[in-house]
Amino acid sequence: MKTGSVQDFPSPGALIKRMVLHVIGQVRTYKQSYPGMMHALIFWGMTLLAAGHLISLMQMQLVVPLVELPFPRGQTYLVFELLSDLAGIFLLAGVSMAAFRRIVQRPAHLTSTWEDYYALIILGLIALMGYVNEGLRLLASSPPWADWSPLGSLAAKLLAGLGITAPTAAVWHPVLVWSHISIGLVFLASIPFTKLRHVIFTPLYILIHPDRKQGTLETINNIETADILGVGKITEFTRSQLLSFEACVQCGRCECACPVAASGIDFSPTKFIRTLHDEVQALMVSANGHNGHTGLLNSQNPWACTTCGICSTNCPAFIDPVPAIIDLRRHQVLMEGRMPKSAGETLRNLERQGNPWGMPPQERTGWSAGLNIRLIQPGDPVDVLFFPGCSLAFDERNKKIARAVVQLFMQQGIDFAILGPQEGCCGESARRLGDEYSYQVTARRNIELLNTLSFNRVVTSCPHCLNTIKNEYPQLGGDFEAAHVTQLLDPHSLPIRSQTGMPHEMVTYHDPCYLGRCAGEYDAPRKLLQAAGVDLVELPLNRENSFCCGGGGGQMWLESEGETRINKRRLDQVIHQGAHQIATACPYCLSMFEDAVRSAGKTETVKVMDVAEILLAGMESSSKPENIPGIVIGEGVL
Amino acid sequence: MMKQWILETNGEPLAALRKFIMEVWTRAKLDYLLLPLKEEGYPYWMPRLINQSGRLEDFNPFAPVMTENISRHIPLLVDQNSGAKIGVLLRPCEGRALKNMSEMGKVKLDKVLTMSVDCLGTFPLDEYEWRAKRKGARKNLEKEGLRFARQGGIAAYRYRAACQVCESPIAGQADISFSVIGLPVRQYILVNTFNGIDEKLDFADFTSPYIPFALTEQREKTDSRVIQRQKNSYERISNILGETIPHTIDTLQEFFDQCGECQICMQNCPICEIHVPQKTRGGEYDPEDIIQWLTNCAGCGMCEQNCPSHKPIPVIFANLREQLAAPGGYALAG
Repeated sequence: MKTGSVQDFPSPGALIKRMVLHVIGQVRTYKQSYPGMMHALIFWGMTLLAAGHLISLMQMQLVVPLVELPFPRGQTYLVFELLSDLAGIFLLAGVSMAAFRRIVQRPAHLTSTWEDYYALIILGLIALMGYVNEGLRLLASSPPWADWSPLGSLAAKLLAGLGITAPTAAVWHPVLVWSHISIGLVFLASIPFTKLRHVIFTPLYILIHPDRKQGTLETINNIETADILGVGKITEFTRSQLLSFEACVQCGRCECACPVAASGIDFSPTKFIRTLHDEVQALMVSANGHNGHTGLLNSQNPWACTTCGICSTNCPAFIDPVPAIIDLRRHQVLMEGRMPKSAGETLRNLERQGNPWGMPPQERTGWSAGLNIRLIQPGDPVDVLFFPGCSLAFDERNKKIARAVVQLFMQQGIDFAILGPQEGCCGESARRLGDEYSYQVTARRNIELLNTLSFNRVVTSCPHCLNTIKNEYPQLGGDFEAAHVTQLLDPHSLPIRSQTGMPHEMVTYHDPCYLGRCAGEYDAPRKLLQAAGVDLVELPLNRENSFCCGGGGGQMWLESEGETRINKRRLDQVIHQGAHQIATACPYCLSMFEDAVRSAGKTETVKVMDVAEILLAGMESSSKPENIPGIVIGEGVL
Repeated sequence: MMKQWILETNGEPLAALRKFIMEVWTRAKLDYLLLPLKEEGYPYWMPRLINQSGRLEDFNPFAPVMTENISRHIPLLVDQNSGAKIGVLLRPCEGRALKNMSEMGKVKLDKVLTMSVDCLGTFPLDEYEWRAKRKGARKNLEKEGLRFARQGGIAAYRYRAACQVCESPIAGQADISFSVIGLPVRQYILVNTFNGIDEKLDFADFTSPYIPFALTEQREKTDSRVIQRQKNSYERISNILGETIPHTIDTLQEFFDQCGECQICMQNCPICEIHVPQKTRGGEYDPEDIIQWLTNCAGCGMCEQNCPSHKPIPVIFANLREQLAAPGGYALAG
């Protein structure tokens, strides 16, 4: 069982940072301003009120004989009164905003259950009763400082207006206090059984969640001796994953950013986590020996996800559904042999031919014909090892990217070589499709090969290869410095683009998920494009909010239905923005866009190019503008 | 009545198994042993009849390739060597085939010592050939299945369709069966004996009885998971094939009509070794023969492997068997 497995515990520095930024600061909730504000009002209202009540509790006879808190007295007490009064306003305002949102606004990604209404009702009730109490108290004793409690005074005036006199107030005050306390206790008692549990689990998970790099999956270390590979039952998730399912409040931030959900596919990260949560709950309330198998897990489709990672980037609680989804895939592929048909074909190709296309491996260097590229040899050191990857080596369209990259390298005088026919697939697709075994076999072979060679860094044009080599090979003992082509090229040494060579077109840059969110590189490709002199327009969903092209997570190899294609949505966004040319830095994105452009019949109006191709086209345009490689879609093969 | 014995492997499961089988050979005074062996110059493991236990040195019953259903050779072998004591080493599908053949009444097994091993799946022939050709891959390939015995095999989607849908890759239907699925094979293999063979061969002299401990639970869990996996694979594959395959005896007749007269499937089928379906005067196969064929089918998939157009006969038969067993299905022959 993995349930007991030990997670890397964060360092004290990381703990403090998480505490300040995300537990107290809750910075991620403000990405959406209305719900962020709403949550902040409730959070700060409740926090101040809880602290205030704790201080008041310390003054009571229950604790006074033991300790006496000499605070607050005098002037401080007046500030204390004012703050408590304001906290109540915060809470009421937050609850009203939340109720308005749930009842009137009803955003599509927000599902409401009794728990949500319960939480709002009890919070509202507590605040209202608090003010009635305060009003009765002020009415009964009319202290000189009543103005320091403005809402309390207002309540007192209202009560007086209702005909309640000071003596009546003195009689009713204790009754109301006890009712207020009772409701407060109900609130406390209901924390474990309702969504209110997030006040415990969410901060806890934010503090101790594993510090994994975005896009990096956990390795199955003991693949030969582990009893179970992947996850077939809820109890096979790690402790920290189980905690994360409990930390979710179903806020829907993942779902409203998820490209899969947005495309009308029957999948939502919110509902996925909700299902896992329900399964955990079912397990907890069942008798010992329950096998933890309600079938809910099997009802989830783990094959729709593109692993783009926007869900976890947006999650205020740092919950990451992607590893859980891959865990389900791993179990289905490795233990059950249950997977989409095309996934099986891809994996077989990958094993047999060393590339997911199933092309003969000897054709791997076909793209480099006539370029005279040096092949790396053991004992022959080189600065840059260019790893084009299967996509650039075998896809006819993407071969042009490989040629463009190499020409740019030559122009910039970079000392580089390629692996040539020895190069094998990095294993990314196998890993994302759940075949951890094939991935490990493939990756180990590559690591072994790379270890025999001397180079300073591996440079890829495919962000998927980059992520695998840079972030995942270290798990198997392969430590290589890796970079993306756009990170290697120097924008300052590019020749100035001829202003007359090419017509100016509105170019938009699409951030690939694995270059942006996973490798954190947003600026390098933009700088290169600007240096090349293009008119760059930004898409509304850019940088870390970039909307996936639909090709990641093995989706490149899975079949999708016309109406729910993700690439179509992204193209619509581009067209809406008025761009005529899409620049991207990932061969999968390029293929997905070209596909979308073709099926939308827009080949005449929208062009798709890799950043490297645009740079090269800019360089060549001054000399021979009629011959720009790779600019026209649907052109014959190279 | 079944008894269980433990075979300690000391990190070398294959070597321990070979030694064990040699011991059985000597004690049972076998004249011959029929098993798949690697032949010089052949990429595959071929069924071979050997007459000295020395040849066992290079045998591996878990090699992920199956060229023939060995049980097909047994009727003739027994006929031609009356009086000789013959041992056979079988995969579960071969064991099932042999049992069905014997129930069809044509094979006498009183002089045959049957041994069976858990099966960890086999690749299609071309796939195996390609894998074995890769530099240094062959050794790994042959050991791969056994390495993942504990989990019930790895990445089963790569195997032959017949293996993916095999109803039970767990050893049985034999005098002695060796269990590896769900076991830490670098430490133990479990030996199951039936019909008092352990007493006849004095197992107590060279091995120790299995006293149930934690292994049993782990093994039962894995076994049931493996069987569930096979069921799921069967459902998946039969969904994929959908309406492209015949679902009734009548459409099966049409299916055979359309596929020509080569009968290579029947030539490779152990059940047809006992009785080849005959055509009636109308040119169709006798429905009773067809029903007998498919109800006795052991699911080894040699028909599909040898079929020039790789027709998914094992899945078709499994599908029809399901319908025959269903209430209101065809009446069973005999």
